[in-house]
Amino acid sequence: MLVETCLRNEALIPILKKIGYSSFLIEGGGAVATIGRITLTAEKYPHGEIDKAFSRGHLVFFRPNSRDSLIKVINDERVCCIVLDNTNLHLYKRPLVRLMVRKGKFVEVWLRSSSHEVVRRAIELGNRGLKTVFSSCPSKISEVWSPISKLNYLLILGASSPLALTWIYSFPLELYRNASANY
Amino acid sequence: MLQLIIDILLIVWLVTLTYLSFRRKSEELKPKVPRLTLRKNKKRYIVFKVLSDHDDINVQDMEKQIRMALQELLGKVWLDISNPRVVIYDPGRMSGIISTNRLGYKAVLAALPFVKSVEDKEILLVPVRTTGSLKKAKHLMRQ
Repeated sequence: MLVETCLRNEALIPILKKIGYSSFLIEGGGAVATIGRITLTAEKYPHGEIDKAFSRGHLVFFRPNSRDSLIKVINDERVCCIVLDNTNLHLYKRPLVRLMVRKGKFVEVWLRSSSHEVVRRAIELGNRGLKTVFSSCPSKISEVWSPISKLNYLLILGASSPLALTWIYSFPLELYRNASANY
Repeated sequence: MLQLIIDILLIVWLVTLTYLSFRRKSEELKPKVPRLTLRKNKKRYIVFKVLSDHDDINVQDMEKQIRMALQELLGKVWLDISNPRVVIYDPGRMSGIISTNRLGYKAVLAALPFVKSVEDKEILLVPVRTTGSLKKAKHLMRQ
């Protein structure tokens, strides 16, 4: 069972099913009976917005812009996953990464908006034991990544094949199962 | 008579020992070069599908876009090594075969999502399977 953890356009579901994905997390929730997610971005930690999203039954993903908000999000159990991209790569220092590993937080990398350097850094973090998830987060057809391409892309950037498979197959599934258990 | 035979055997034995010691010395003098064996860079065929709203996609442009994407991702060195070519494309089935080699097929697979459009038509290239023979690739394409 292959899970795409970020989908911005519900119309892409048939295409993703053709490629081999079987479950999806749709940004903002959708009409289709799948689990919705909400990605929040803020300098200051948005307790209210997180409460609102959590009460609506969405999975909360947070993209921190400052060190304080990253520390808060690591310790907040309502937020299931932290988004890593070009803008907040510098926040991921060793002590915080260790804390994230201990807390079992997932880190999501958006392939469509991340440079090769970010993906390479995410691979390093994954090698240290962080639960890394790679998602294409597509809003149109040309932004979709097939699982084989994802795997080979990670291999080219220096990941080992067992770990790359874990990041593409196992961790998204774990995230999805945790979310399903919450419903 | 017996003495003669023993003498001959001794001489043969001594000659053999001398030959072996000289041979060992000459081998020690030679520089030891490790023998490197390079695996033959055999062909690989990637069967792929095209997902798009448009049916009329030009094969030459698609190949050009694939090569450009690969060059953008890994540079000209890997483009020359992998040398991807669209050998067969079936517009009816919207699928085709890319020819590459064992060294570069992973690079080609990784570069396929970077092909966003062909002639301003949005497309998605999805790799289905990689095989070593064109016959099997054709068979997979027909399935």
